[in-house]
Amino acid sequence: MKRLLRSIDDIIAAAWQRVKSNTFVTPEDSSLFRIFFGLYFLLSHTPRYGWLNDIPDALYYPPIVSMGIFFDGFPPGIFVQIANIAQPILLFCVTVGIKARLTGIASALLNFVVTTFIFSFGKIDHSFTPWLALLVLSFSNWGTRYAVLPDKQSTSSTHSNCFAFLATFMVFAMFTAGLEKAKFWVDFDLSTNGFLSWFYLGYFSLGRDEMLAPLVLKIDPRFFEIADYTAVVFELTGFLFLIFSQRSWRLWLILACAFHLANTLLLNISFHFQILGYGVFIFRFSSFHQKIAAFIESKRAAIPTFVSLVAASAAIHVYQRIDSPGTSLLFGLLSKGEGPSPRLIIASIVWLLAIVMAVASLRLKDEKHPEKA
Amino acid sequence: MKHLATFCAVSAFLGLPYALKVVAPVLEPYPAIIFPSGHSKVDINDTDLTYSRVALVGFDKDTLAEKQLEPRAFLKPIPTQYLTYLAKNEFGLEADRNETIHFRYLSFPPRTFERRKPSQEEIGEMKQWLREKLIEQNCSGERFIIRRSKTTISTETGETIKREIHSEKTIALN
Repeated sequence: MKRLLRSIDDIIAAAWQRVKSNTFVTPEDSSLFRIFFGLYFLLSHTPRYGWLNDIPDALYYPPIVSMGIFFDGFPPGIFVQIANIAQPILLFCVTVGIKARLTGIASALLNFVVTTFIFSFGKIDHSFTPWLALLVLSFSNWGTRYAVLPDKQSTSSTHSNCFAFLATFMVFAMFTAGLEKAKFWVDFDLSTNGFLSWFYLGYFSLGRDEMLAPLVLKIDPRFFEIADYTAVVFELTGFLFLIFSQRSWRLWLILACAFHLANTLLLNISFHFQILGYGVFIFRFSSFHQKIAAFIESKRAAIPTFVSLVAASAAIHVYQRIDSPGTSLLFGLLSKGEGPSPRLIIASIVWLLAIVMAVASLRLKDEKHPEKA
Repeated sequence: MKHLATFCAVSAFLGLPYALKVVAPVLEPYPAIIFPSGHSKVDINDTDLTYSRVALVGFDKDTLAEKQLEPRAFLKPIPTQYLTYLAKNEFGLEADRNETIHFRYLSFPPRTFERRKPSQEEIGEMKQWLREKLIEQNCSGERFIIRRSKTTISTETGETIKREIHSEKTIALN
């Protein structure tokens, strides 16, 4: 029995080592991604909690299995206001690298606490990927480079474990979406369709008729049977891609970005913030490090200017939130006029760029983390 | 055995919340690493599609004629995506707040979970909040209707073929 358990332990150790190797990102690359991550959050996805003020407690209906069950109503206004103002400040610290580990963990935990109350209207939303990435990557060395107040270096094992865990969590999340879909969508019956169920409801009932959505109506509905099977296969097979090789993992990421691009264009469901989970594995900046170092060396004002600009965007959030719930800077500036909404256009560009970068990363040599090298 | 132990712990961390959701969707924990499946299907031979909608209907303050309320303004600052769920709980005013948990795949009998009941003071506050929302939309602050209707549309032309009221509940605010 002991020998059997030891063999299983060895198999798991070998598999985990492969996952670590396949998902490895250097501290330099992850630190540059941290800046992208923070900027993306500050410009387009800064959470707004202020609206939770003054909601009658009779509406408080928390999920049965959640922290919310221990509370008797929505949090006091002062807590909401502090959280609403603290969040952009914490994200500013993450972006410029002011103790990014501590501030990243605080930011993610604060969001999980406040969203417990937000999801106490009877519905749980599933937009947790960026926060999960923030929480997990905060334990890595992403705050040790390109940082105003760098973090203490973690061991290389801890660093690589973070990326392996993040990748595992993401493919598991996709797996949960695919498992039940498989039961219903993989029916080998051309007369029923799952993709079109999403499409028709969105197009006719929710006004999701922008971008390439009108094209769907011109295509033979039977064609979309392929979409049903493709979605299920993609969602269920993440683990295989993850464990096989670094290249296969990148290939799955390309499929993920293509999946989201198709959803944005055809279903007008963008989930653009998912890029904050995939991005760290896609965006490779290795060839830029020397150029960035040379630029910083030659332009002494570059860092103070950059920090000031990020601080300014955080300050705008804080200022807005003093007497209003606040806005998302980028989408707040681009108001919806005629034509497709800016959110969908930006999301399409983001997913397209991600695909291009992910394809480019396929051509890079596999990176080895120090334990394996 | 370090790796085996870690594997079991991570599997439990990921798998147990998902298992809870699978056996009883109402038990979906938060936070948990779970994505929604959205596994509904349509029959593509049907040239029509039926979907349900929740509408809020007030009564014009002058004529007392029915008037469809604008959900975004009525719920503000709560996002409209929560309308269906708020309507299900009758905006916290439903008499029975208990939740019955039906289990799938398991032969457990349904269990009733006692939800927190709002106090009389909270109910009064809620009614006042709703009254103000109705008055903002030039409606009488005495009552409004939560109306569930089924709309059938043609998937070829997009035109509405049929709209019928499925159920309605009048919420009195006096």
